[in-house]
Amino acid sequence: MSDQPGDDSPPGALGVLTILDLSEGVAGPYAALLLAAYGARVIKVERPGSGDRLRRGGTAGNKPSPAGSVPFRQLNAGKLGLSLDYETAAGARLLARLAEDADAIIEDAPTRRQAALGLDAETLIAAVPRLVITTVKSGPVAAATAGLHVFYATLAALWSAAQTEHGQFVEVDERFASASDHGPELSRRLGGGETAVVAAAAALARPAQRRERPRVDQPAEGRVALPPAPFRLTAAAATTAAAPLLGEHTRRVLGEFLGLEAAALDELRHDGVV
Amino acid sequence: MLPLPLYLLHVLDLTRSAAGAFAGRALADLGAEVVCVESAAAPSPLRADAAAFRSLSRNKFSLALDLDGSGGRDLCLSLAAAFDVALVEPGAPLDVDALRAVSPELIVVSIDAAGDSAATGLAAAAGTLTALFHHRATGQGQAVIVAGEEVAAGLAAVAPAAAAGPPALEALDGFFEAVAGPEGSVAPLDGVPYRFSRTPAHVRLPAPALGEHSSDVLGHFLNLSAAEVAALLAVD
Repeated sequence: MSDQPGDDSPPGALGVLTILDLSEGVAGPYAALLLAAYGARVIKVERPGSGDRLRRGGTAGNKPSPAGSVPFRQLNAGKLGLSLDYETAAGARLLARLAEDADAIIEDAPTRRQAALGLDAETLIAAVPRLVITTVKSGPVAAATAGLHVFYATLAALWSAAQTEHGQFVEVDERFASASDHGPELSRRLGGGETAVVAAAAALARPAQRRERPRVDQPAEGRVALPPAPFRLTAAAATTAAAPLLGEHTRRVLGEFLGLEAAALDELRHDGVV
Repeated sequence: MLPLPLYLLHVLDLTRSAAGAFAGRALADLGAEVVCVESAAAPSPLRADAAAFRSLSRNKFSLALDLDGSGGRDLCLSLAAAFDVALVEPGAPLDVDALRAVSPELIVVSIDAAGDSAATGLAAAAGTLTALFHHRATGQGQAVIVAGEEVAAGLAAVAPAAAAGPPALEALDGFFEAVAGPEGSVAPLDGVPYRFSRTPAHVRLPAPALGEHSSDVLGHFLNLSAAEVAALLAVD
C-alpha cells in the first residue's frame, strides 16, 4: 500500500470501479480501504456533523484530532470524504444519483438506507441493474478478517456483474465468516462424517480459544502507519492517500460527479443535508 | 438464474499448505474450477486430517500427476497454458517464473503460508480476483505475491484485538450444509459464508478422492482422446 507508483506505472488494477462506502467501524471500511488501495475510486459517505463513530474511537489517550482517530485514519486512507444525510429526502435523492454511477455499495446499516426515501433495495437494483450491494452483518467481535471476506465477496460479485451486467445483494455475516475461517476445526468437531444432524453437534461446542496476532507500532499522532497490503501485484500499482476530513470532498463529489452548482451546494449545507 | 460468480475461471492448484487450500476453497466455493495437483507418491499432506480435508477441499477436483518426473512437469505446464490462474508456494516443483513463462496471460499467485492460514488464503483469493480485473483491462497476467506475515500484520494493524475461536455452533443456524460423505453417508459441513441474492453459492461437491478427476481434466484441457489419457496416466 505504500508503494510509490513510478512515472510509467500502470493504473491500479481496480481503476474501473467506483465504490460507495456507507459502512462504519472495521469490516466494511477495511474492505473499502483495500478496494481503494488497489485502484478503485471509493467515496466514504458519512453523517454531517458526527461522521463515522470510529473518528472519535481508538485507543484511550489519543488526542482528539480533526483528522480523526488513528484507527479511523488507517481504515479510511485514500477514500474521498462525502458528508451526506441520506435520511433526508434531498440527501436520499443525491445518494441515488451517486449510486447510478457506482459499481458497488458497502453498508452495515441497511435499515438506514431502506428507511430513506426511494432507497429500498428493489428501487436501487431496478434503477441500477449492475449495482452490487454488500451488507455486512456485524458479529460480536470487530474482526479484521471479516473485512477480508467483505473485500473478497464484493470483488466476486463485481466480477460477476462485469461478465453478466447483473449486480446483486451480498450479505456477509461476520459470524459465518469467522466460522468459515475455522472450517477444518468445525469439521473435526462435527465428527467428520458420522454426525448426521447439525443441531445435535451444538452440544460439542467448547469455549473459544484466543489466538495471538502480531502487532505493529502505531505512532501516537501525526503520520499513521498504514496496514500492510495483504498482497502485492507485480504488474499494477498500489496507491494511497490520507484519510479524508469529514466531508472534505463533498463539493468535489457533488460538484464534479453530479454537476451540482455552488448555490445548490450552499443550500444543501444550510439545510444540513451535506 | 445467473451462473456462479467465478464460473469459467480455471485454477490450477499446486500448493500443499492449508493456506493454499483456503485460497483454492474460496475460489471453488464461488464457482471456479479448481484442480489440485497431487500424486500417488506425494498426495496432499492435508489428506492426513480427513475431517479438515473435507472442509478444505470441497468443490475441488483432484488430478494425480507425478511432478518430480519431467513428463509430469511438462504435462502440468501444458495444462497451465489452458488455465487462467495457478496457485503456487515456495518450494513447489513448478515456480512462479516457470509458470509465468508458459503464458503472459497466466495469473500466478505465490502463497507464503507463514501466519494464519485462513486469512492468508483469503488474501490470495482476493489477490486473484484483483489480478483478474487487471487482466480484463490490459490482457496481461502477472505474479501476485502473498506473504502470510504481511497479511497478519495488516489485520493486526486494523483490529489489534486478537480474534476469538469459531462462534458457538448455536449461533450458526443456517450455516452448515449437508454433504455426501464416505459410503453413502451424509454429514454436515461448514457452508459458504456469503449470501449472494442472484448467484447463491453452496457446497456442490464433496472433497475429491486422490486422482478422481485425472482423466476428465487431462481429456478436457489437453483435448486428448480417452486412449491417450489412459496411456499418460499409466506412465505417471
